[in-house]
Amino acid sequence: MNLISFRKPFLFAALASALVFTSSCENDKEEASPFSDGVFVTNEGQFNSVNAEVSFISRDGKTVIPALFNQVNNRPLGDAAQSMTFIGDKAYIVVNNSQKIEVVDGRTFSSTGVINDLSIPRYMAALNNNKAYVTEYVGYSFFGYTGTGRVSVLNLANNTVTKTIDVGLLPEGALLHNGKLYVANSGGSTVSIINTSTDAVEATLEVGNGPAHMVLDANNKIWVIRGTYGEPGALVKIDPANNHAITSYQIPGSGLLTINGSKNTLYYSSAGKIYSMSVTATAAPTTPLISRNPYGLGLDPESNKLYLGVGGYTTNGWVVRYETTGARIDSFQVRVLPNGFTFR
Amino acid sequence: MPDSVLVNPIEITGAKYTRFAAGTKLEAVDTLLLQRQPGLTLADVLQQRSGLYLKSYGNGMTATVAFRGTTASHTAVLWNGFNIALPTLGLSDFALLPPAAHSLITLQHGPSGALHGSGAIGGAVLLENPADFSPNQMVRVQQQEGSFGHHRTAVSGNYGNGRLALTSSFTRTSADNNFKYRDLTQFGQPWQEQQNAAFNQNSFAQEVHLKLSPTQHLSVRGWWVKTHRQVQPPMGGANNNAQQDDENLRLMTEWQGQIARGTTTVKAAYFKDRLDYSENGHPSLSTVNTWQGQLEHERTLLPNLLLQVGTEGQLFKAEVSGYGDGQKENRYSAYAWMRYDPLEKLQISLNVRQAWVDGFNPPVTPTLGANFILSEKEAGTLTLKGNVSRSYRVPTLNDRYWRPGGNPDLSPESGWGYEAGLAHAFQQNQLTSQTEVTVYRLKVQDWIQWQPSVTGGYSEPVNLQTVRGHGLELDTKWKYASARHLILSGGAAYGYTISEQVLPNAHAELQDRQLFYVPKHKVAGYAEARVKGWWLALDGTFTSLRYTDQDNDNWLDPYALANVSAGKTIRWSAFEAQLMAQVQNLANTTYQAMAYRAMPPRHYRISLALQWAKRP
Repeated sequence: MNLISFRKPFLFAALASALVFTSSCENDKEEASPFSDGVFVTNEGQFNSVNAEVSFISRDGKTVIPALFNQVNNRPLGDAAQSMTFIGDKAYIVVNNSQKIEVVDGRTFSSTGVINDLSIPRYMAALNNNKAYVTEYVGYSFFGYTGTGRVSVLNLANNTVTKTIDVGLLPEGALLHNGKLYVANSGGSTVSIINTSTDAVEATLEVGNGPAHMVLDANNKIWVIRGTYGEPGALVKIDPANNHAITSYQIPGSGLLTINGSKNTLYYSSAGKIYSMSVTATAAPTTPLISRNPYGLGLDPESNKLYLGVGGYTTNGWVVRYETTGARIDSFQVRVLPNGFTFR
Repeated sequence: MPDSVLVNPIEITGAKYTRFAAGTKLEAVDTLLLQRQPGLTLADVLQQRSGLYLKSYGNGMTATVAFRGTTASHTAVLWNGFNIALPTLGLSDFALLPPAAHSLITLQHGPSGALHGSGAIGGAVLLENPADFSPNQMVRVQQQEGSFGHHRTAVSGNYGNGRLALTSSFTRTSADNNFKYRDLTQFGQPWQEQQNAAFNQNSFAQEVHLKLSPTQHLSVRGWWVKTHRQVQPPMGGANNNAQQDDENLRLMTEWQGQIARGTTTVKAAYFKDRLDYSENGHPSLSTVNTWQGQLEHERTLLPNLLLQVGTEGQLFKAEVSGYGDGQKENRYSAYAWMRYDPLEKLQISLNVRQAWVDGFNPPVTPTLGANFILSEKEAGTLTLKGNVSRSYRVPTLNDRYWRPGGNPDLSPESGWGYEAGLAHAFQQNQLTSQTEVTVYRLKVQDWIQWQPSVTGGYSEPVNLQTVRGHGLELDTKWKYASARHLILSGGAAYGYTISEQVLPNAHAELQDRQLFYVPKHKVAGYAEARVKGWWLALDGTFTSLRYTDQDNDNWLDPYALANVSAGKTIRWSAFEAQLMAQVQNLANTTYQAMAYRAMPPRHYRISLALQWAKRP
């Protein structure tokens, strides 16, 4: 494959800059990584094509490595990257249609292993450096799949699946809070609550159609964005301390959800626009912050800048950075379909 | 001679279109190759004999062809005048088109919306089964065995008595495709055995032609193909145990007679296309019923002026799980084709078509073309050709009705093409040749592409792209036949293709990018020697680098492939036996036609055919 020879100049450039960095900061091992100060962009790639990638953009915007995984590992990442999660000194890239999680060294990005035996994996949540959970669709309901989704329990010490837990349809986001794993069943209307000491579902919360993504705010409330095609969506606030009491804030449609570093302002997309909302607001805003439809949405907790992934299914997408005031800062070309951001 | 294999096929073309295609490039495909190398698909034949690029997802898997830097959606496939593209996807999978025995295959290069209707933007593949009433009787059976569990059985028969002509053909092809390949996506590139790539296909074609009177005939044709395929996963993709079951039934009837001082043709067709896809046992079903009718009248107005007018109607009824409820769509078109030869050396065609579709109207598509004979001598003829042609493509049923996302208000794609060429036919003693060179320009607007919807949550088709292309096509065919039963033939086809769209680079500057999976260079060559019942044939192709993404960041390396076949025919009275052997991918080349789809290494096939034929 010519992919390898093509990427060599980039690889050498990256290695050279890594060397410079290493020699200037050799006293601090953590700082030795060229990827310690920036954002990793998961580029989903085209479904059924082996062109998923991870891009790296430094916080100062001066270093952009569009095809990081292939550059370091001389092979493609796989088919449909869904998400990426740092756990300890490793990064875990969930590759949905390759049914695997690629494990790479968090400092060098070189491959250290793979977790197989998964079925359409989506998002991860780590209890500690040895134990994590991953949501799995198992089958697509719109393809006629009638079984349930599931959550697999992962042993990160040997990269194996130790247990599977049945949850609702199309489980998407996963969030750990207070020893419990909350799983949003996007194909149904519930959030499953899994006890992490027994790894069994202990409760199922009714939240309304299409719960997808979740964040935890500074007041220990869990926010879920939900909605389904053809009807309005909602931001649902769950209060774990108050018997999981639910408050709903209607929004035009479902989308993506993130929260700032101080965990007091939500940023979400709905019906093709981006809004911000204080976690203490009494109603969802009607005026958008940014009138743009993101395929990926992230907020850098350190710099408090918004990251939007935009683009078509078959061409290189763009990461566009905004101030939280809605002012556009700059943009970077990455790979096909940037769908998420992992900040380092 | 009672031997169809020795008939030189080059001269045969589908006469219907040829008359109105002055100035365009029409290429007859050597369909006897399918008999000499049984087990080759129509896609393989096009790959080996033309400058077209074949997009293959694996051996026996989905295979599509594209002309002049466009895509499979821009290739119209017509079966005896009816468009047979799958209405849901708007394209034809050539792996599902095992041509019936005695099919004529013609390639129309370049846009021809006026002649061939929707989809003929890059070109058209014309499959025809004309009536042959000459008295004959023939039965042929063939069995083939090959590497990776390949089996093929073919049975065909002809009967003709001057008034009635019958043709039947049946094939069954299957393969396990459990070959070994290197997985380039895994650490260390380990050898793997290909999983989930087996297929089997049964096809049956029947024709009945009846001469009602010296000037009237009736034809009924049926073509049934049932294919079960495991869908070969890409390297690095998961094996979802994906399976695809296709069943395509095509029935048509045609009456032709001389009335109103001209030739009138009435045709009706019914197609049923079922495509059931499943992953890990969970199905996605689609069935489309299509009814088509055509009425044509052709008349010689003056000895040098020929006119054909026609109209056609299509009704699609789709039951597709992705559409919610059933969907219907009507499409109509009317056309007029004129051929005028004002001078002995000048032939002009002027064709025009207007289509009407539920919800919108595609543009009027005219074509103006001419042939001018520059020199005509006993040894050869040199002809200058040129044409300007407009084309259109109606959005597919998926584009319009898929839920969510489908957009009934999409505009049809529209294209313009300009071309000029020189054709040379040469004949001296026992040597004949045909050579044609064509240069062209092409522009396609409102190219439909799916992208994330503006309101989020799903994807939707939009009239997004403009693609511009230009290129050169060169074809040459040579044949030498000596008095001592020695026949040498050979040929080459070359395609130089530039097909570009404008995309921003990393600095947001707009740049021209070659369309993905369009090689700049494609060469196909072949040579064949036949003597006293023996034959030896060699063919090879070269395909240059192909980008696998629209931004041209990734690509597949160039590759060359060679195949060889040899055989012996033994005749005894009306009986004939043929023993054949083929080596495919002779040099054991590792290559990919589509990114990360493993292709088979060197493999072998042998076959035996028995034939009984009688001609009075």
